[in-house]
Amino acid sequence: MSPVYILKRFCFMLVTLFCISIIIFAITMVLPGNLAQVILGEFATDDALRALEEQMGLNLPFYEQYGRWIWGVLHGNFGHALSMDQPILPLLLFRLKNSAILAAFSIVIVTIIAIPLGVFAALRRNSAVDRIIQVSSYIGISVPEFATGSLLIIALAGPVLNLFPSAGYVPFSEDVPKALSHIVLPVMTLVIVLIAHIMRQTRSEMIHVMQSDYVRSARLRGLSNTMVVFKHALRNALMPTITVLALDVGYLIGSVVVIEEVFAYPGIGRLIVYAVTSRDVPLLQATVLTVACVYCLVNFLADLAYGLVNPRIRYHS
Amino acid sequence: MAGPILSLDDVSISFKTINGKVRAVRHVSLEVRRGECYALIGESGSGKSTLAFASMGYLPANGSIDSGRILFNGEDITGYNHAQLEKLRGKHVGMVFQNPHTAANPCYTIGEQLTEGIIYHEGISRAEAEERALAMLEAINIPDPKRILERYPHQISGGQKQRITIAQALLSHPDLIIMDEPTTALDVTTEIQFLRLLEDIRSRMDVAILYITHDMGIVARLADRVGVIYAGSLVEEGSRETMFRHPAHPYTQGLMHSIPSIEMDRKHKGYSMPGLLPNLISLPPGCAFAPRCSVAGECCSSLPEVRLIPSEDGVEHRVFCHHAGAPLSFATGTVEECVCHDEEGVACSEPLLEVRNLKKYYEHSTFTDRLLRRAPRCVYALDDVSFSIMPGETLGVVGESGCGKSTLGKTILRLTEATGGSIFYKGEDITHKHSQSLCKSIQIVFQSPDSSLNPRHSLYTILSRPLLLHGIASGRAELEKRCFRLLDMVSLPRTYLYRKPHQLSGGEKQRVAIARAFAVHPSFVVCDEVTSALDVSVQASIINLLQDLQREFQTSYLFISHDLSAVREISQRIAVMYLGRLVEVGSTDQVFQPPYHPYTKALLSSISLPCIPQPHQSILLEGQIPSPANPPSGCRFRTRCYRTQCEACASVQPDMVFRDGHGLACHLDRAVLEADTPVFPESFLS
Amino acid sequence: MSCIRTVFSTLRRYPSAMVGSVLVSILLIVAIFAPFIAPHDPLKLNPRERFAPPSVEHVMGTDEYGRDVFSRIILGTRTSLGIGLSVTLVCAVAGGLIGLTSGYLGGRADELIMRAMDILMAFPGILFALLILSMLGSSIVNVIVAISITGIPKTARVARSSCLNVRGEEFIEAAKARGERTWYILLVELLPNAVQPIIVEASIKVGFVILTASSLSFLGLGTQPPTPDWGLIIGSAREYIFEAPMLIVWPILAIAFTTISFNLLGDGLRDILDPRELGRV
Repeated sequence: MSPVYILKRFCFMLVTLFCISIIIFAITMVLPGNLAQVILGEFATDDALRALEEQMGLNLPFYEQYGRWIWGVLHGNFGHALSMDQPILPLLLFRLKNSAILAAFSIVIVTIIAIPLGVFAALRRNSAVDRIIQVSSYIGISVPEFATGSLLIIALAGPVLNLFPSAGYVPFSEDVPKALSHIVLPVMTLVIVLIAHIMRQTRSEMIHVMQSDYVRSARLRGLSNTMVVFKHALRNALMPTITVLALDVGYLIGSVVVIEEVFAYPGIGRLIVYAVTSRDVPLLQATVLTVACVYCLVNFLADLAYGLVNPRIRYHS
Repeated sequence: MAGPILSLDDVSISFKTINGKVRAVRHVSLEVRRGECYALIGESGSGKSTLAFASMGYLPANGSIDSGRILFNGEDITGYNHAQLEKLRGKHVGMVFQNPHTAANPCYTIGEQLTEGIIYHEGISRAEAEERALAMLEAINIPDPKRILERYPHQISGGQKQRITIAQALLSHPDLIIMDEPTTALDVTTEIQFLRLLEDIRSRMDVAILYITHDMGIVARLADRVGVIYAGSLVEEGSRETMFRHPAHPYTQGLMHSIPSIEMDRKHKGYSMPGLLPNLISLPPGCAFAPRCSVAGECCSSLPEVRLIPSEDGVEHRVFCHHAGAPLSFATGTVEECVCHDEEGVACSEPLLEVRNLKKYYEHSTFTDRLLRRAPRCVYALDDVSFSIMPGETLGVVGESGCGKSTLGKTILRLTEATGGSIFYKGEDITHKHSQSLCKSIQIVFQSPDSSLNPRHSLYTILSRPLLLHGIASGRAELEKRCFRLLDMVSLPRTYLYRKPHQLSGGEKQRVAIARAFAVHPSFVVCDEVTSALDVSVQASIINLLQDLQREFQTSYLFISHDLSAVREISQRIAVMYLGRLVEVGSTDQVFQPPYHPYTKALLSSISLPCIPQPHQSILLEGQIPSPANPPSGCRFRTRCYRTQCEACASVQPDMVFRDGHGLACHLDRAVLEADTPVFPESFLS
Repeated sequence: MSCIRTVFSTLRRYPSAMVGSVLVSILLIVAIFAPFIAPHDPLKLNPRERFAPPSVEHVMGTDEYGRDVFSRIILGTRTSLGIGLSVTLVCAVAGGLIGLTSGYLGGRADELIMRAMDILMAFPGILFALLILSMLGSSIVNVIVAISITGIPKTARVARSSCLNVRGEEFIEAAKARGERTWYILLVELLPNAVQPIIVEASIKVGFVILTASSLSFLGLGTQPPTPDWGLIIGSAREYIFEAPMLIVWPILAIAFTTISFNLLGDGLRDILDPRELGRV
């Protein structure tokens, strides 16, 4: 892979992040209602409002306000969460870690299950097994994640089968089995939602590749079925799946937001929802920017991985 | 002679589709003998590729063998299980595909793909396999084989890929290689390299070849025996000599007559077979060719039995026809030269279109280039091209793919802006002019009628639009009348008017495209590879139509094609292009006779003619065509030129030097070029 | 007449499109005639009949305020389809126009537009919608606006790539050579051939939009009570998840039914409109 390719993707990521930070800042600054008003409440005097505005730099032109904010962010200073009256950074890191645990477990499990299932369904196209896999994945993508989560709670955490706690969180440092039992349901929900997606992608890509000329020519060279499928078809089918996996992280982030709410799990998604409902602008800015950063980084890494497995990019003259 | 390697015994194959059962192959019996080259000829959709794949035990999921046996070395392979098929394909039969670009896995190196088969089947070590692959590449003269093995498919050219596929097929020392139109995707100069390689392999190795093609020239060059397949049935089979000299089936005879060929008298129109390939879902009983056959009688509604015809060389000559050998007439009318006169009856002397030093550079500059103020990278698609066309004249433009001939057409139509130089139309500079009247006078017909007709529009919309746009006609009734006249003009039934393009055959679609161009009575039409996408049997009819229209409307053509035979048939003058530059311009006779530009000579000599033996020696060009983004200094052809070069060749671009209207752009002495031997014998070009 | 017959015979060969279009038709009828179908006023409170089990009077029982769940589900069809279809329409028109123009213009304009779309797409969808809703406040219209903005880039991309495929066709060149004006080429020559992928994308998008909208309502940031909305019903029934689980199950079934219907229709359309299939018809 040429350094130029890496550099290009990296620059693109930086530009994207820059633009995103501007969008986030712009949107949150035109929130209805003056920020100072939000802090001081409805009955604040004009003088007090003006003083606070001055203190927070709210009367400065947009670009200066943005400059101050992004400068702080780049130095790790996200400011104060208004509604909780505490610095944002430690809170953010704690919540991010919690969400990352959920996401990591889900992605790993999904990859292990979904890709083989997708390949299998493609190879046994139109068989009974394929039909079952197809129908269940259809249901998987047609039911919203909060619904899946709620159904799981009813089934597995209800009075009948009280297997797992339906809400809450225990840190891994305290009690590993308990911590695990708390994330079982959220992870299960995420897995169900994502498996359907990735399985469908893998299946359709695999079917496409199996119909390609080079797979036919591999067959006609007398290679065994195993070689044709696993050596010639699978690698080509998985290349686009990498990109889809990365894009699905965006999907995952959305699901995480909802699922953390369902299971009252203290992750960054729940923090975002909290920031929106409590109109905590600095917290909203910080959380959304962080999540966007994660997403961009994942996509950048996926681009690199794609470049590594695809010789067309690796050996591009 | 030993027993056959492959023998098909009454094989029928069908495909299930949503529209019904397609009977792709019906009761075909033939055999390929040890060490021979058997050519299977047929047009697209005739079932020839299906037969090839079936011979390797491979059918798509919706296909099935309905009857018959496929015997390989005496063993029926139709009942083979996976393991047996693997062994058959891996050890005994090799295959070369039509499109070298998609047949190789983009993820693995050439070396990996060459060796995996023999490692798997013979259980040898990787090192040993690599050694054998290397030896094989060396044996078939692939330059720098060590590096080739390490490369990925996207890093090598199509011609080379196709030769490597042969190496791959040969590695396991198979008894038979099946080739499915292996040169269709290649240029003539690359094709001849490939064919030479095949000849060489046949002389050295004892391998049988089943060669599937529609190109009679290649058949004449390579085949020992020839089978002709029509609508899924074998219609005739015999030795190459018999098939070319005394074809007995009306279809074979028609096919032989419809090939545009160098040897043909240019004053005669080409023969074109009437009718269309039948629908394979609802085939009429009896002879499938009967509806198109001029001697068909009542007996033809029953399936013809095989007839053996005595042949001169003793090779079995089988014909499936009730009227085999019946005398047929392929006489065609003569072509009248189109001479343009002005109102007073004086022949025109002013050129209709003149191109002076036309340049078209495609600039590529990426964002980083702009940032670093780097000069943009240029692709020199056209460089200093000059020529003129008289009213009613056809100028043929030939050259290999990527030489800029299509860009030339588009630049003249001003579909792309010229980078430099000028275009004059009737003495007026139109290089940067866009006007309705110019659009009306200059028209274009494209290569692929599938792409040039909007699939959503009916023929009425397609044909009436130019009439409306240029204010020639308006109102439903008048437009309809005009459209009917246009359909008559290109000999299409009037009932087609409200059909969509996909309901028409390829040749018919091309007729519609031509009708659309002529709807506005243009005085100049660019024909961009108009026959390339069509089957041989309809190519001639399209050329005839163009010639008729030319005479009627006194139109000039710029006829762009890579098919030298077609160009020779229609053109009064020919221009030869190489890497964006003209290398030779002259009348058709001048270009086909010495003095030649070295490139023209190589191009001419690369053609395979449907004659036995080939009347000419081929010149093999070394190396690859350089990229037009990075052309060689001096003469662009010098890197592949086979003549002794002078100093100027590497440093100065040669100017076009004219003598008697015959221009050559070569540094070599004209006298030397004039002393060149002709490619084709004098008697050939009448 | 022949047109209808063609449509019908095509549908028969593609079962998923057949089933999908029947289900979607049912949904549309339910949505249009919802007030006539619903046996009760979906907003009418009835504190004496809280959490009533299913009965002839209340087919799906009643909720925590004694409202008839069946009526609320039926009326919810309007909300969901309303949001789903209007977002899809906005996306298809706006995204389609952006994509087609960008693809047809090519060059720097194209580069600029597509980069902007890439950046918008680098935002996880629901997050962007949350941000916009936090700015605009929660209401049905704002939900439509928010989801539309997050959905436009994808449609624009689909439209552009389909436009690029068609732009290379020779009939476009032929139209240029004939001297046609740009608008004619765009609308008459290009659009009819480039519109299929946009339609397919749109029909699959409906299901996705309904899911997203219900998620937003569930979070309390989308439609506001007492609007009958499936996401909202689930959100407010969460408190009674173990007491009255069916309160959650009914709207889930409704959502799943709707998205499955639209997905079936979308997949079916994709199979039918696939250019490789066209030759077979």
